[in-house]
Amino acid sequence: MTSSGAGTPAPTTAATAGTPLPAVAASDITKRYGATTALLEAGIAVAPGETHALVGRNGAGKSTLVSILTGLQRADSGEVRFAGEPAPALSDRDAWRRLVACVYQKSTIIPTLTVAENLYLNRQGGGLINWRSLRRRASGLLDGYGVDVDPARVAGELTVEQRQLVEIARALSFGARFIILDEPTAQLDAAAIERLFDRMRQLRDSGVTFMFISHHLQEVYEVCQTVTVFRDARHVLTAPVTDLPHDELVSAMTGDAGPLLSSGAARAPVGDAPAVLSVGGLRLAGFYEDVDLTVRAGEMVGLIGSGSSGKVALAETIAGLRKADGGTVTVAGNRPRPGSVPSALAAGLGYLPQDRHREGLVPLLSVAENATLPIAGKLGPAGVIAPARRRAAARRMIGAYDIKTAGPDQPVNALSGGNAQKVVLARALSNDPKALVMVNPTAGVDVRSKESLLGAVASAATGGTGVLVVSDELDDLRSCDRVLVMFHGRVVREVPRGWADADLIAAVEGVRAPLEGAREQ
Amino acid sequence: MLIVLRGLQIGITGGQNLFDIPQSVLYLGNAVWLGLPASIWICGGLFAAGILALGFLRHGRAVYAIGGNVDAARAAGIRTDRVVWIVLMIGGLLAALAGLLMTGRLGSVASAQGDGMIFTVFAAAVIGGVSLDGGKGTLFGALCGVIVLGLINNILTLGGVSAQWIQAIYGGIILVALILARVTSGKAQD
Repeated sequence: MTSSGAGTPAPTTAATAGTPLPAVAASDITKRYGATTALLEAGIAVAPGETHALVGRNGAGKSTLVSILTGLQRADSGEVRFAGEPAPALSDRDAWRRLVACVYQKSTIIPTLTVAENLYLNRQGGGLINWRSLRRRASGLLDGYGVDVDPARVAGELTVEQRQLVEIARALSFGARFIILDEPTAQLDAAAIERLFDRMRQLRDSGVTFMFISHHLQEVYEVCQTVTVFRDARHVLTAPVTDLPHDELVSAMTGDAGPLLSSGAARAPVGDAPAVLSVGGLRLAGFYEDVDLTVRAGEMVGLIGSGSSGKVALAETIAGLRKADGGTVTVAGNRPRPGSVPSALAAGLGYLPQDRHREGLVPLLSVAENATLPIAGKLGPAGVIAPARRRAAARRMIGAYDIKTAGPDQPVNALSGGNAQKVVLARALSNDPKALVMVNPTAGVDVRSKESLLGAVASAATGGTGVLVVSDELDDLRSCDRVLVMFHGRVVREVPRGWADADLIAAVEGVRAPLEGAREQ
Repeated sequence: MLIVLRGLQIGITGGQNLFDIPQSVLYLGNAVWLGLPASIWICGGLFAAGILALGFLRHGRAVYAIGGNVDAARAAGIRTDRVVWIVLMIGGLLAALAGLLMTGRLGSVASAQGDGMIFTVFAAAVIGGVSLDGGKGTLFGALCGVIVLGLINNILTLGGVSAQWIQAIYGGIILVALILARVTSGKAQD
C-alpha cells in the first residue's frame, strides 16, 4: 500500500471550472494508526450551502476524516482546502474554528461551568471578566439562534438536545459557516430530531454548509442533498440523494465482497434444545428497553445494531458488568445476581469483552496465567496454583485454539491481535460455559485468525454451548442460526440464517423498507 | 516525589531540628504589621488574589475548564499542558511560602515539619466543596474548609482532649463531615 497522494499540490476532487469552489475539499487523505489504515486516499468535496451526508459502517473512517477536517489531527498525506485556501496550521486553533465547527458525538461542553461561560470559553475578553456582560452576550447569542436556554444554568443540567443547540450556537458564533454534525440524532427522540432538522434547514437557507454524519439512512434522505459513502477507509461514491435509491446506498455501504467463511451449515438445527440463556424484559435507562431473547443449547444467535443501539450495554448486562434497571437474566436455569460478574461466571456464562486490551487481558502476565484466570481454583488445592498443572492446562488450550506463541510463559502483550484474542476466547471457554457471550470477537484480527476464532466458537456451539455473538461484522454473524437486529435500544427484527447483507444493513441503519424473509418481533 | 523531597529534608538537616536560623528567613513568619501577624496579611492577600484570578481571569477559568473536560478545553484553544504545569508550579511556590511562614513562627525547622499535612489539605479542600475530580469548587470554599478544620483543631486543644487521642478524633470529625456532605448533597463528594 503506497500513498501516491503524498505532497501532490493539486486537489483531485476540486471543483471543475464553472462551478463554485467547494466550501471544503479534502483530497487523497491517508491516515494510519500503527498497522491499521483509517483512511486510504479518501476525499470529499462539499459544495457551499448544501447539507452533505457522510455515511459508512463502523470503522469506515468517518471519525478520522472529521478529526482531520476539524484540525484535531494531521493527515499522513493529502490536503484539505477551505473555499480554495489551504488549511491553516494545526496549532492555529482560532483559525480552524473560524472555518469549521463540529458538534462531536462526545460532548465538548464542560459540565461544571455555566452555559454562558461554555459559549465564550477562552475568549471571555482581556483583563477581568465581567460576568454580567458575558451572560448578556450569551443570551443575545442564544436568542439570535432561537435557543431557549438560560445562560446562567450549569451546562451539566442541560438535556442532550439543549446541549447540542448550545454547541451549534457556539460554533456559529465563531463565524464558521461550515458545520460538521457527528451523529447528532443518536441520543435524541423523534420530536427533538424533527426540531433539529427544522433548525438545520433554516440555517442552510441562511447559507450555512453542513456535513451530516448519521447511522440512520432515513435521515439522510430527509435532510441532505448529497451523500458520500466511505467503506473500509476509502471513498466509495458521492451522489445527489435524489439519484440514489435506498438499496444502492446500502449496497455501496456493504460492498459486494463475497462471504469470507463457509456459513457453518454443517451444524445440525437445534430444534427444542433447552434454553441456556434467556433474557426477559431487560431494560437499562439510556441504553435499551424491554429486551427479550433466548439462546438454546448449541445455538448461535447474532446480535447486530449500530453504535447507539445499546447492544454492547446489553451484552455487558448479561455478563454482570452493568446492573439492569429491571428484567431478568437466566443462565442455564440459574438467575445470577444482577451486576455481579462472579455470580454470572458461576452460573455458567462465558464472556468475551469488547476491548481485549482494556477488559480482556492482563498484558504483562504470561499466556498461561491469562488463559487460566477463571479456572485458577481448579489447578490446585486450597487456592494454591500448581505451576505444572497450569502450564499443562495452557498447553492444551494453545493446541486447541491454535494460538501462535513461543510457549505458555510468553507475556501476552507480545502476541499479535489475533492470537491475543484467541487467548481471551480460550479463557472464556476454559470453564466449559453453558452460554457464551461475545462482543466484536474479531475486531482488529487478521483474516486467518478470524477463521480459526470463528471455527472454535462454532465447535463450542456444536458441543452444546449456546452462543450470543454481538458484533458489527457481518462475517461474525454468518454462521449464526438467526440474527437479531437492535435499533435505538429495542430488538426490532429477527432474521434467520441465509440473510442478504444489504437487507441486514438496511435493518441496522433503520431503513424502514420491509425485509424479505424477516418477521417483526 | 513527596518521599524524595521528604528524604532530602531529613538528609539536609541530618534528621535534627535547626535552630540557628537567620533573621531574614524568620522575618515574614514573626513580623507584626498593623497589629496583626504578617502571615495573616499575606494569607488574606493571596486568597483575595487567587479568588480574583480564578473567578475573573481567562487563565483562571481555563483551570476550571481543564478540570471539567480536558478534551473540550483543548478544543476551545486552551493550552492545557502549559496551564497544568503553571498551576503545579504555583502550587509548589505557595507551599514553599507556607513553609517559610511556619518556620518564622516556630523559630526553628523541625525535621518532620509539615509531615502529613497533605491529608489535612485534601480534607480542607473537600470539606470546602472542591471536587477532587476537577472542575468544581471555589477558593473561598477551600478557605472556609481550612478555617473549619483550624477551628476544630483549636477547640479540641482548648477542650483538653488528650494529645494521644486528638488525631483520631480530628480524623473522625473529618470523616463525619464528608459523610454528611454526601448525604445532604445527594451525590458523591469526590
